[in-house]
Amino acid sequence: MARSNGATSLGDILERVLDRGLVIAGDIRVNLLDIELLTIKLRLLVASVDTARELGIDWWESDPWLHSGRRPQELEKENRELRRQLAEMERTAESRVAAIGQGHDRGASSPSVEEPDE
Amino acid sequence: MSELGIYLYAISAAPHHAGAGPTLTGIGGSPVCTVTESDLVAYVSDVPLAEFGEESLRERLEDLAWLEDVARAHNDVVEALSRRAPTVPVRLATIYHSHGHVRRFVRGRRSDLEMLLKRLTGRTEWGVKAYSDVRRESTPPTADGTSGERPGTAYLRLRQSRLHADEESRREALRRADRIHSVLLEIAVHGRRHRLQGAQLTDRKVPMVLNAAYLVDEKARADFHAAVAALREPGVEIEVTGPWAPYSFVDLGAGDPDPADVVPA
Repeated sequence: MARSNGATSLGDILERVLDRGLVIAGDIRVNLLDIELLTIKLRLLVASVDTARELGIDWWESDPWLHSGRRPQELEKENRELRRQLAEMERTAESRVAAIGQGHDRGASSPSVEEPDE
Repeated sequence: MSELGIYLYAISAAPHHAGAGPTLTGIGGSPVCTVTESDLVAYVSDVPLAEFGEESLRERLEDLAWLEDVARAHNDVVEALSRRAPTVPVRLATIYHSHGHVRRFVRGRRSDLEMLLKRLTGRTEWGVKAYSDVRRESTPPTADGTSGERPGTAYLRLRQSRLHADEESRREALRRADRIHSVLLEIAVHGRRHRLQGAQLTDRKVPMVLNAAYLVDEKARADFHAAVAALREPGVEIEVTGPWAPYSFVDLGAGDPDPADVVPA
């Protein structure tokens, strides 16, 4: 078996089960996201949670009424701000993914080789 | 109303079907069972609609831990079936409300399924990814400072030649990818080029230039791997994964069902 490492990588599995395989409607409607978009979104989610934590915003980790003693309006405000930041990061990521997707067609006119330091 | 959905993994042909063997365990530990429709067999297991119903499924798909468990369980079943007999893998999260609905699907797509099973018989999928950073190998142009040029002109000329070098590097990298693909297509029965994955997803410093899958006849397996080995050269890293169940070769586009090479949309 010619696997690149000992265990099969999750990325290799996800790109197959999410993006390939026979596509049929089934009875339950599902809108599977493009794997790159899904993975980026998940990474963004993790990144924004870590960043927020560093800033001392951790209301989701324990009971917000007890932990930080903040009033509900403040928590709601932080919540809205976090969501706004996440939406912005997602928009940036989506446009990058779109650029990757458009740039990959064969032919030398728009090569899609990624910069290694991006 | 039933709280269970019928999760579909794959389809193969009876009587030489892939069900002969120990019972497989599917998602959530449920046993995989068969739904037969004349000479085709669908592999299914029960899943709770609390997780796999439309609303909760949308949310769960955004939960990487949940997704990983489901994806691995799905793939484990598909791979086990594929090792036993030619098998058409189904995409993740295809769920029906009853065995009757599964049979209806199989009946309705019978000729497509038979065509696919014929295409897959005696063949295996291999994944090939290539990474290449041609730029690193060539010395970038530098200013020699000895010409009589003014500094500004020299700077602009240098910048232009670096941009040309970058552009040429990209073209060279893609040429290498095209070459790898065309060599492997000579040996494989079919090939598919998939979308490249950007650097931020691959955790590699070197750009991916090829993301492909090849359907290879078992008799040609050794030749295929020898060809990959021969294609390796400094500056080009080729990673092979497999054997896989034939996820990349069960597409049903309009037109010729048996193309030698298809670039996916």
